[in-house]
Amino acid sequence: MLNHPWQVKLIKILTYLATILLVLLVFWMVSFIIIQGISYLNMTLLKESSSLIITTLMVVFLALLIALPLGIFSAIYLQVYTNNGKLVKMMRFSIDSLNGVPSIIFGLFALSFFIYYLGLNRSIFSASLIMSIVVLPLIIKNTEEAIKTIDIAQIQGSLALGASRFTTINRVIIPYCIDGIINGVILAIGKIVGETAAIMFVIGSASSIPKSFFEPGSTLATKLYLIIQEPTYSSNGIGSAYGIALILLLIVVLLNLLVKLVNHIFMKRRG
Amino acid sequence: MDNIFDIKNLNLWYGSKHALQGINLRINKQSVVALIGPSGCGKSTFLRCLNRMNDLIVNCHIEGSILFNKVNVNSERYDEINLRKKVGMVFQRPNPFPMSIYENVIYGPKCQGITNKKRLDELVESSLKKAALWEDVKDRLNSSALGLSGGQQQRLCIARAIAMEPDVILMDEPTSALDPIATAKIEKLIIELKANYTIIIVTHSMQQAARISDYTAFFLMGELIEYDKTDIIFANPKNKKTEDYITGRFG
Repeated sequence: MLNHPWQVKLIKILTYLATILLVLLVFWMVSFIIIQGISYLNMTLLKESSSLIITTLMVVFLALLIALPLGIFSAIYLQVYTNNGKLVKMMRFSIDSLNGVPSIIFGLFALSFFIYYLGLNRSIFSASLIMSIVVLPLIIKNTEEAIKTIDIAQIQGSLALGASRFTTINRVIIPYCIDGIINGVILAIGKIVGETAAIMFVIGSASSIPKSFFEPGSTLATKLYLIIQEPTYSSNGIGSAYGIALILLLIVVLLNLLVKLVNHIFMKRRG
Repeated sequence: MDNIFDIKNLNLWYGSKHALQGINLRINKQSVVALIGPSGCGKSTFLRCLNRMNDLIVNCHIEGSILFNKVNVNSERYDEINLRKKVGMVFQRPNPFPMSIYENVIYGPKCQGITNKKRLDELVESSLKKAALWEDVKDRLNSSALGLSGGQQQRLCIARAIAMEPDVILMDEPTSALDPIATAKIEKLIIELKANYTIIIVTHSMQQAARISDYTAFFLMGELIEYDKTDIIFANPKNKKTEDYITGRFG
């Protein structure tokens, strides 16, 4: 039992130190990137990286478009329609495994399956496809957790009023889970924007602004990877890597704010 | 008088547990029937058979017939959604949806496909009036139902059930989470509602059963021990077990 005064004190100090360390670490990393990147963050870099920003946003959009319905409905199926049979256990196991797979494996899979086997072009579409698989467990897990917190009385209340299961899902379960879904979306956005290994073999590379989802492109992260590998890829050398890193950070923050705003408006409309 | 429910030889198992054993019961139209008995006696389980809410429970197996207006509803072929439109339910804890008061009342009608705004407005007003809630909420129909007090929330749940224009309202200990004043209001409401609906209420309070019901059914360990007019059950029970229970000798 940890009840000696000095033990309690020690635990307190340790947790305190850990918190301080964590905050300092994040602060140091972010400020490092800001300080290094800010001097390169000018119109030239923004112009140079406009295609990167657009490509990144396109991958985020398409990957979420594929992963969201798939993930939400899988989660509902797992929580509402099934009773922990063999199939469900297998599904859960594969979702958990999917979450633990290193992204380079996804990259290898995407290359061999999408490009070589299915014969898809290296494109934003192929990259979005693999990213939707990468973020699927995040969406499913977060939605499932949210569904678990639903008061069963709400579901029974809806069914007792003659609502079908579908209506109940649509009007009671999904609105109730919005917070969990949003959480998953925020995590997914961070993952997609920052992902390199899973997509770098299937997105190709291009420096012009893509006109469709079926063109190749470079995201901020893949370009960043290239520049760090080979600074001559950019006019400013390694310097523009910091600039791009800063843009990447800003985009994640902006997208998260946007998602929260949409959620806020949604909640307000619901009253 | 006409029967609205005629239950014949109803048996229910949860897995291997025989939770309802050969229940036979007839329920008259426009009466209040109280189901009493100690915890775990099967009264709530029985209530949930009447709108097929037990369908949701895995491993629950039901045999026997439940004639509702002379049609057996305990059958795969009978659509439970149609049944629930005619047999509304109010639960133990008030469970309004996290929506506005207005949206809560029209939830059922909307599921039935009623979209006419004027018709919905009328339904909201008449249902809330019948549930004795209209005066409390008429100026804030669009504010959240969760802002209401517990008693108001439960009356909203009754209004929500009434808006379906059902024949029967099932109530599963509707006042057990409420204070005495809110309870008294609900009891008064139940007596008023009897004019238009058949009400079947599960209650732990024998005083409540005596105050509001016309008929009382006493359940014990999955069996229906005695079913008669409430006056008779409380004044002159025929069965020794009933007498022991209502006089508080066990329970």
